[in-house]
Amino acid sequence: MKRLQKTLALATAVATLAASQFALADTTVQLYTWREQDKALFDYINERHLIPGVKVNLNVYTEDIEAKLRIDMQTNRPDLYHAKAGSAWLQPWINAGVAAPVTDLGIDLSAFGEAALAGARGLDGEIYGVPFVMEMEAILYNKAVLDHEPATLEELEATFADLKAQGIIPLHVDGRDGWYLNQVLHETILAGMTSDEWAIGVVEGTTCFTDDIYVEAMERFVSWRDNGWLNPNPLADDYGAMRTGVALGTSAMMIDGIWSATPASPMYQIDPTLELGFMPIPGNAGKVYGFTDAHLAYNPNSDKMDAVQKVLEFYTTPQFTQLFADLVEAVPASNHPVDVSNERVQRAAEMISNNSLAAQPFFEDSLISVDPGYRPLVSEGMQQMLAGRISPRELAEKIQSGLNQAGYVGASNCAL
Amino acid sequence: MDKIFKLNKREQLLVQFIMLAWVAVVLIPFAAAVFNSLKPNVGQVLRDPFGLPDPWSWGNFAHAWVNANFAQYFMNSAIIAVSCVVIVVFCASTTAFVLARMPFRGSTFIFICFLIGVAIPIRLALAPLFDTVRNLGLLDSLLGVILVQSAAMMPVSVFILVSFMRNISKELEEAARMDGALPFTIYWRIIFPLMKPAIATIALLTFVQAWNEYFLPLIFLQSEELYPLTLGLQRFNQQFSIQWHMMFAGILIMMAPTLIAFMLASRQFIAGLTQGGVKE
Amino acid sequence: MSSTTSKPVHRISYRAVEIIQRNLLLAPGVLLYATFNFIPLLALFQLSLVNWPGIGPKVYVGFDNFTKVLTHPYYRDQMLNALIQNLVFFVVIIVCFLLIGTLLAMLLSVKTWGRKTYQVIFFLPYPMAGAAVAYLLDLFVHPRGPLNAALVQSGLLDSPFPFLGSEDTALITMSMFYTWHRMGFAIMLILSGILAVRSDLLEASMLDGASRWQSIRHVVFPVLGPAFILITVIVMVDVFNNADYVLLIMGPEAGPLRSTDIMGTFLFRTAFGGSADTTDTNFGMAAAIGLLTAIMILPAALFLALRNLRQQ
Repeated sequence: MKRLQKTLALATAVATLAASQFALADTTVQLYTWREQDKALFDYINERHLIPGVKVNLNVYTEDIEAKLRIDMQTNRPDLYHAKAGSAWLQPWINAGVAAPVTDLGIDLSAFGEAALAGARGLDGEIYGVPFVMEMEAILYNKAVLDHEPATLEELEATFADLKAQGIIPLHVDGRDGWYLNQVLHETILAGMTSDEWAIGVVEGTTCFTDDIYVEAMERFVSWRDNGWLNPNPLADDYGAMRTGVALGTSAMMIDGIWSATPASPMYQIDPTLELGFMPIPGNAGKVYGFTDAHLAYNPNSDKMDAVQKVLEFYTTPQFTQLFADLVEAVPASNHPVDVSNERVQRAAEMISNNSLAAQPFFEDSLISVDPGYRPLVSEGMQQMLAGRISPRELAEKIQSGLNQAGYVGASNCAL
Repeated sequence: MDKIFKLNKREQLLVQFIMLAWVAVVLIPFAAAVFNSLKPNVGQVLRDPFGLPDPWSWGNFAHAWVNANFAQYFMNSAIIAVSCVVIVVFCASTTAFVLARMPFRGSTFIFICFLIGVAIPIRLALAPLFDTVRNLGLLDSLLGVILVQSAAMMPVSVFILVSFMRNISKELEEAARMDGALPFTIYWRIIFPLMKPAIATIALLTFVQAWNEYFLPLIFLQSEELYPLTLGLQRFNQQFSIQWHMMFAGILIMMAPTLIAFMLASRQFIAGLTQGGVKE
Repeated sequence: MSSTTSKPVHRISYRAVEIIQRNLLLAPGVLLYATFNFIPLLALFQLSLVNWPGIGPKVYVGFDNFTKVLTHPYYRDQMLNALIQNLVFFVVIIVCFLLIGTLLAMLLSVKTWGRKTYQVIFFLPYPMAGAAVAYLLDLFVHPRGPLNAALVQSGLLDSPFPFLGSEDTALITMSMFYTWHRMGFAIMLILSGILAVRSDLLEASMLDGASRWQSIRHVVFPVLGPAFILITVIVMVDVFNNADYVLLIMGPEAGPLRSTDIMGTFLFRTAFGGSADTTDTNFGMAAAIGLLTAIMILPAALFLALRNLRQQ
């Protein structure tokens, strides 16, 4: 580890020297992303000229990234972009000829495990980007309000009751945002309260949403609402309101991704001394939901291909991995050993590799490439269930029948 | 009207009550924004939204201003809005003048084309429009946004001006024509001055629309240096959405220039409008 | 060209110059509109016949987009829902504009104390940017925002009211936002109509012994027709096409439970994807939805517009 830091320092020094001579010749590449939190990293990289001869200009669009990317691709402006995981996301870009396998450029991917590469794999089996960040979704809690981690659902519920008695909202959820409902809330409940076998089965079409294990998980969650352990009017609160509540300590826990616990998270603007802990929902499976969040893809029509290649190569280096862990404080996707002094990053990395749900329905082609697919069905259904309009059983039937009608692989096993 | 309807004391009180009620509806959200933008942290905003700030944190505004690069956004918005007003006022008034006063074969057709534009919004035709703008080399330039936004305001402006023009009498114009005056002269000397109230209406509509437009700049601009305030505020929201006091400060900064411009020009604005945008 | 030219020649040349000048006057507006608006609009028909995610090759699908929107339950239900909610949205706004707007305009037209100040204040929100208004009012009505705090502290409510958080009230709250923002414009248009009423007619009616209310009804209201129609057309076109408030506050999912979904948000979601699912986008279907919307509102808009013109 020490050696690595030394090399890093040396590399920085050399790069700085080199850059001072060639600074004028820098090629600027346009990198499109929704990841606001990577800004500091690229400021650091650009300032120190860590990628020789290349400056990376980050174009951040947190909400409209796909629309913006689609539009700007028409003028061939993006050279590189952060792509979201899953072949369903990639396919339109591949069809349009603005995504191509990174192996075409001879990028060496030996530093990445299969789990990380899966998110960047297209339907044809090729790898279309360099994975760089793993994310995890779980219960995040404010340590100033909650000082222990309940180990079972019963303990968790006792804690809920206890918190409620103190006038604190035990569990805050965002009922407004579609992406939160399907990608975060629903999937974290799956990871905590269903099982690996069930999740794998759903992807393969052998188990069903109408199975008891799923319905019971959702019933348990709904009982939390009925006991008053969730925020009143969840549909009135958006993502910001949820995070504000936990940051202020008026709410104890929320179901969210660990990105909210990185230094760039606005929660620390509210309370710089905030300490967040995270744990799985301690149910049947008791797992967290870990996944490759993003990979770096490139535009094969870019006229700055040399620079593009350099940036992609940089993303595979131990140096990048270390910088990413240090500056973004998120879990890198590569297998390069990193010196993680940060306890939070270390724990998250361990949880992702040892204790995360075995399948990720949200990213699985068998579920989302049908139309209407898993994503809109789940987010609509979850919102209806939170509002008390449908029961957990009806939610399960809604998702299942929607998928069945659209030609889901398990339609015959799960006929209603 | 005021000469005819004299209000007695009791009526006057009733009227004042209604007026003040609406004043409250209008002003209370602004007041809430002002007080809360001066609070030191979001905790205070949430605990007691109507309480006074403690301490008064004027620094929020400086912080918001610096962080958000509002000066640049403001300049861009001003350039876009003012150019749109000039272009629309000129193009719509000349077109409306010809369509309303110098009909020829095909003029009804042209007018109907404009009416179709009133009913179908340009954002629907985004993809073809995008091609046009790209082929003209106007992508990622203020000029491109200005032309697109001006064109988007043309239908409604032409419609308002034509319907207004049908109401003004033709006597002056016909007299001028008898004297051999040509269209340019008639337009500039007679029609334009007569149309002033309606032009005030479309100028205001255009300004407000151009100032507010979020979608078209989002599509046609790529460099952040060219962003108008609407995109800037959205940027700001990404950064500060959970810091309510900062959000309020940002919103007020964005509103301030319009507010001041409006206060200064309110007499003319309202006079222009109430001189009869739709006279009988 | 006066004394030396004979009369017929003079006439022809006047006519020629007139036509040249007319065309010159017409050209800038027509060119601007045609290039950046009308011609792209025509291309919409073509676009509605393809499946295109906004990038890459366009796949010709004939009238599939139309059949899907009109018959496939998933899309048809969304379309109907959006259409009905759009109508509600429109009716609520226009009723507020015409009732409150007319009342306030009337009161502003008589001698009241401080009416100049009232005029300015009433008009105040209108020039504000929609984005700023949307964010401001969203925070204002939030369960933990100022309005709810005031209602709870004053004892009017026991617990915060979820204005935008309940599917029963979200759409109405959105129309109130719109009304709050644009009321000034409605007031001014109506006021300008009232001020145009000829006072001799009013005086005559009063002398005839008509009551105030009768005079208003018989002399003032008829004159307000064009103003009402203008407001109706502008608002109709605006609310059926633009959905900025909903997009900024609720996002393209138009929650809760699609209860604030209107044509603009449905169209946006189809073209650009919603926040729940960004992979399923189709510009072709969005164009089809746009054309259907236009077919629905075009007759109403044209009817009102032409009536407005013909009356004069």
